[in-house]
Amino acid sequence: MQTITSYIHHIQQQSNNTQAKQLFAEYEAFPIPTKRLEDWKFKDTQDWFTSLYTFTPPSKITQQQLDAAIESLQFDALLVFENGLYHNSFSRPNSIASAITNDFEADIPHCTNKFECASLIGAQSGAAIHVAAKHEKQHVLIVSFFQGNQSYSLQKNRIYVHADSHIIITELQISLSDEPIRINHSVSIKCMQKSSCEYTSVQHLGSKTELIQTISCLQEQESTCTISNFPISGAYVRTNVYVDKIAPHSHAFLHGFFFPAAQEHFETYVEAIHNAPECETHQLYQGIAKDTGIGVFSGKLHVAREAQKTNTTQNNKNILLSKTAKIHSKPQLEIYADDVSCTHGSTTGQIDNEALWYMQTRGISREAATKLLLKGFITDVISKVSNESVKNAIMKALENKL
Amino acid sequence: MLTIKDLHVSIDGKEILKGVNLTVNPGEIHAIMGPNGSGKSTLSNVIAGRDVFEVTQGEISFLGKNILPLTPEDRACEGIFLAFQYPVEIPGVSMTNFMKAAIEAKHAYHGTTPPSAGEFLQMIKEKQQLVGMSQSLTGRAVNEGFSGGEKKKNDIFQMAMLDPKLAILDETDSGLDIDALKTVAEGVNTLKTNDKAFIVITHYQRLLDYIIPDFVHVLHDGKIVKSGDKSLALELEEKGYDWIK
Ligand SMILES: Nc1ncnc2c1ncn2[C@@H]1O[C@H](COP(=O)(O)OP(=O)(O)OP(=O)(O)O)[C@@H](O)[C@H]1O
Ligand SMILES: [Mg+2]
Repeated sequence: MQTITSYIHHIQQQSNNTQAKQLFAEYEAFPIPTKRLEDWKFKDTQDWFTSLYTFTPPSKITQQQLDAAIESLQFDALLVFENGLYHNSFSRPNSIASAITNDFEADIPHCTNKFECASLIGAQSGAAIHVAAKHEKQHVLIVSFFQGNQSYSLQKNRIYVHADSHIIITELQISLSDEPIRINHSVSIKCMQKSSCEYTSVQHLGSKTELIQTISCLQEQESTCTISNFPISGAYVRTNVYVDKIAPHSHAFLHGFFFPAAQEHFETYVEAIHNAPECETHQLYQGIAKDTGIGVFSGKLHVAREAQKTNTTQNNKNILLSKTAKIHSKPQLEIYADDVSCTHGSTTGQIDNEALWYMQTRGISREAATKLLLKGFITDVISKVSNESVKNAIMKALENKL
Repeated sequence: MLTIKDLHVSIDGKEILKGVNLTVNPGEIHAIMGPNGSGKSTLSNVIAGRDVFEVTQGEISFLGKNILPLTPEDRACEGIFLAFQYPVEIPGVSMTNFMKAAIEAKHAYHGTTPPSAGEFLQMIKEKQQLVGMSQSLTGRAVNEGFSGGEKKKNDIFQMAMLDPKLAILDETDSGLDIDALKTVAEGVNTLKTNDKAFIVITHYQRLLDYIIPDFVHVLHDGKIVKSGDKSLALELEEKGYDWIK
């Protein structure tokens, strides 16, 4: 058992790779997040750095567990991981989708936060998806399992979508037990000219599992990037979404639905960087919170002086089902260009009593009316997921929480 | 069918209905008129079961049953329908799912078999035609982005779908153009049978040219201060409410 810092320190020392050393320097430069920092103020994550963890618990998953997880899903390739390590026998890789084998690749991006640095240095594997030019659109399914008492898993997925090619990727993150588990995950996507990538991330985690992940996308000219995240269950799930537009006419569609119940705490921090003109970012995040659930949405937009004719929208709508549930919503706009259209709106309220009353006068019970209303609310976001089988599975999982 | 006796209703300690008496028999059409704020919508909401209003005194029975303890949904299943003065928008819920839930609830309440998917769609088509509602509206979310008149028509469409025994139309005519008014009135007249009754709340005598009432009541300051036949509506149109007070 050791701390995350000593674990990755050891890895970068053993490696002769300058990238690893550079990432470790970046890691050290980021302060340990405390609640005093604006972006970390809703959750104390100190113990991620101070506690001792097991980094490579023995493998445990079975074919039945995998079958249950992917039962209704359709896909062209399947990559299975357990605690950040690739599962050869369970996976069905193909010419575009396999696992990372070499530890460090040439153009590892800079990290955007301390967790992402740790994941980029410490993860031994993850999905490696290279979509060659003009490849027909496929659906790659990544299933990442986690287990082990007081375990800490690191995984990094790397996705390169070459010019004029398209890909749909879904990742299911599943923890199989109610042991204390920490997951630090990173996804680095690079969308080249006129390419498109749709990445959907879904968490089914145990009651003591905490997950922090960063999904970042670098966008070249006329690329389209769609990133959606759906935490279904878990003690704590934080997704950082980071899109960086370096060339004109690149579009991003960012969506998420969070539904914290009981003691759950789900956060989404979005950051969209517009460094080139005529790009678009459209954010749609919705949440329902019940019991003592906590939800956080933070949407940051940065439009550089040269990013003229930027067009962005940000929508965050939340419904609180109990007096003890909380949702924090924080839009942040930093706009340095003058010819832009950037709109944002955020509402948090109770369920619409007038709508319930209207439905009741048509014979629908208050309970059924509530479900119908919330289902409709969820559908707004879920309808953005393009793979039907994934869409249905997420809808079913969220409906079960109602 | 509907008997209201000495009904007193308050909200936040303020008395709004101050002793309403009304009897509606099967086959009858009653019109309720009265100045703004006199309590017409309150009365219709209380009959439909809105719980923000407190019934402090009096009785409401429907088909011989005391309905005051019943939830709004149970009253609806018993056969009471309210067309809203201001129909509510329900984003994200499609008209089809909404109507399906309502029809299924009604059948579950009576222990009968709901229509099959095919029968249900056929029914939607028929009733749409009956009330002159465009097909594109039933493909959308309930009332979302509907025009004022479209919302009113939608309520009448829902009434046709649910086939209630007593329908209360709260200013359904306000906001309808003259053609729509005729279509809606025709719809009501087609649905009217000897075992059904209507309460029509309106400010305008015009509607009563198309839906001919057996009785006209004037509600003023929480009480029915005058009742008469169709000619009372004409008199009100001419003289206003001052002479009644
Ligand atoms: N929810 C409420 N809270 C407080 N007061 C209310 C509420 N609903 C109705 N009232 C009051 O009760 C009185 C009667 O209102 P109601 O809506 O029943 O009138 P109405 O006869 O339907 O009027 P209109 O012709 O304008 O539709 C009004 O003074 C109104 O302000
Ligand atoms: Mg009214």
